Amino acid sequence: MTRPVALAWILLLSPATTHAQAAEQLLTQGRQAFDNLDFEQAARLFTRVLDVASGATSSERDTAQLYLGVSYEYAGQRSNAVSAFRALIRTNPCLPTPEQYGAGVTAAYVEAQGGVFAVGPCELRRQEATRETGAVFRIAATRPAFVRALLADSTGRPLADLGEVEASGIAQLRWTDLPDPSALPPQRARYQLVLRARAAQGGETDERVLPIMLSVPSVDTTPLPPPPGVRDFRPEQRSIAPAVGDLAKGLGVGIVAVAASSVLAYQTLGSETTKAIGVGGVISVAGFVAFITGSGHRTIEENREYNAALRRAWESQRDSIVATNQSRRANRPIVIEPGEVRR
Amino acid sequence: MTSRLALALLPLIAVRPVAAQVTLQANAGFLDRRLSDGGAVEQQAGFIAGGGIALGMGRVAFSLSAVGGKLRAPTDRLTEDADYTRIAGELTVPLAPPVALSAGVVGSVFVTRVGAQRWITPRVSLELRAPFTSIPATAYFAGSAIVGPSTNAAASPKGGMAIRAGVAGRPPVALFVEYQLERLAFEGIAPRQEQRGEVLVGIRITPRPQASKST
Repeated sequence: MTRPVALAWILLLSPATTHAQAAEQLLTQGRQAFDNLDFEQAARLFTRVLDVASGATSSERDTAQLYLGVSYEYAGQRSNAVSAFRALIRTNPCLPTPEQYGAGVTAAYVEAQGGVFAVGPCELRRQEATRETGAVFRIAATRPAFVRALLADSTGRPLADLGEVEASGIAQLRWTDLPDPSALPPQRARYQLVLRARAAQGGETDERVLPIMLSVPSVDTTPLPPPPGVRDFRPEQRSIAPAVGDLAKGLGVGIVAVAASSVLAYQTLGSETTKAIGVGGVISVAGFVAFITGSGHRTIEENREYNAALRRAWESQRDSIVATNQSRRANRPIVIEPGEVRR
Repeated sequence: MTSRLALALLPLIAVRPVAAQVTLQANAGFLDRRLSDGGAVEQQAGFIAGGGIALGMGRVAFSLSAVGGKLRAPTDRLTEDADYTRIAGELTVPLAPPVALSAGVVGSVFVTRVGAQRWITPRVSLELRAPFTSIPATAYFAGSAIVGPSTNAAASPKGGMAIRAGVAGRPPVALFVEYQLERLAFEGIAPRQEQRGEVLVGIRITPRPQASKST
């Protein structure tokens, strides 16, 4: 069995990891052919790398696409070179012109650029954005264009409009209106950055969907103060016992006065009851008045104000901590990371 | 030795400031005196008025009071009208917040057309005080033992008992209502009985306490 046939069998029967190894191997073989100046063989190998079945990563694809264009140009196939470069520019408009490969390649690349309208991100790196700083994305457009960026969930449903920028070449898109971090899940979640471009001149449009991961790291918050305990409060009402005691004192002394008078007075000299009952009644009435007064004014205003101040102080402290914690949560940075690109 | 003792006692006898509280009192009332020697009951009653002063020094209070008035006798009896005068002095020491012990002497004179009858009744009293917590007033009840009374009357008193009950406001301006009943027991064959019932209303004024000097 020849080596290519064996490789084909391996590609058909092996799982994805084996496909990835095959793509890497094809890329290495292609570069060896390129280094040996066998540009037609190199172009064939790079074309196979770009085959979906090869399982190449986006970086390997971009590399293979670039080398394919250069190989075609070196092989004297300008039209194929321009087509390869167009494909490369369409998927990655941020790449610089490969001037290091000579004037011919440069000319082919420039020709390819003229025939493609594309927009895309440049070097999407991990960044921590707050609602104060915002997030910055570098984007590129092959021709002057208006680029609108959208944030969409993993299913493509738009969630937020990040704004529009006029781009010519490389431009910065600043996302200022970040969502409330509290509304985002704490774990990394998959989202999509959608770039919709329309050419400044002509009706050409392009759209690029870039997977990104958003996450919100946890933040230290101050625990809420415990509410005042029962022991911290003062009694707001006096006991009714003193008022009852006053009634008992008045009635008791009044009754004792009348009783002592009737015991002490000589019965043969006439009754003292009238005077004793009169004064004893006054004493009892005084006790009743004391009872009414004491039972009617049991609220201790000083303690009531003290307790209200205690509650207000706790509420104030609690509200302050709640506001501080909310501020901390709201100002948490949102971590934006590039997601896995699938083509 | 004598000079050392004098030096040691000097702090005790030296003049030092003591917060003295003076209370002035004015009162009026109704007095009802009744007596019997086994026969008819004699009665003299009438309105009396008077005043007094109390001096509080620390825990001890000394009071001096006087009342007087015209006591009328019923016209259908042989009892004479009398001019009544009474002077009382009393020293009071609180034993505990609700209890006070007092000792004093009451001298009284009944003057009729026939003559003057003088009484001196020393007494010891125990007073229970029940201050109200909700209003500035105190109810009180006192029982007294009259010890060794003397008189120029023909009968010989061997002792007696008295009660006093009332309610009084608290300083600086206080109204009071008080009931007093006093009875005397006599020696001898004749079963003489005598008692004095009295209702007093009055006012006590306690000016702001000032430091006084006392030895």
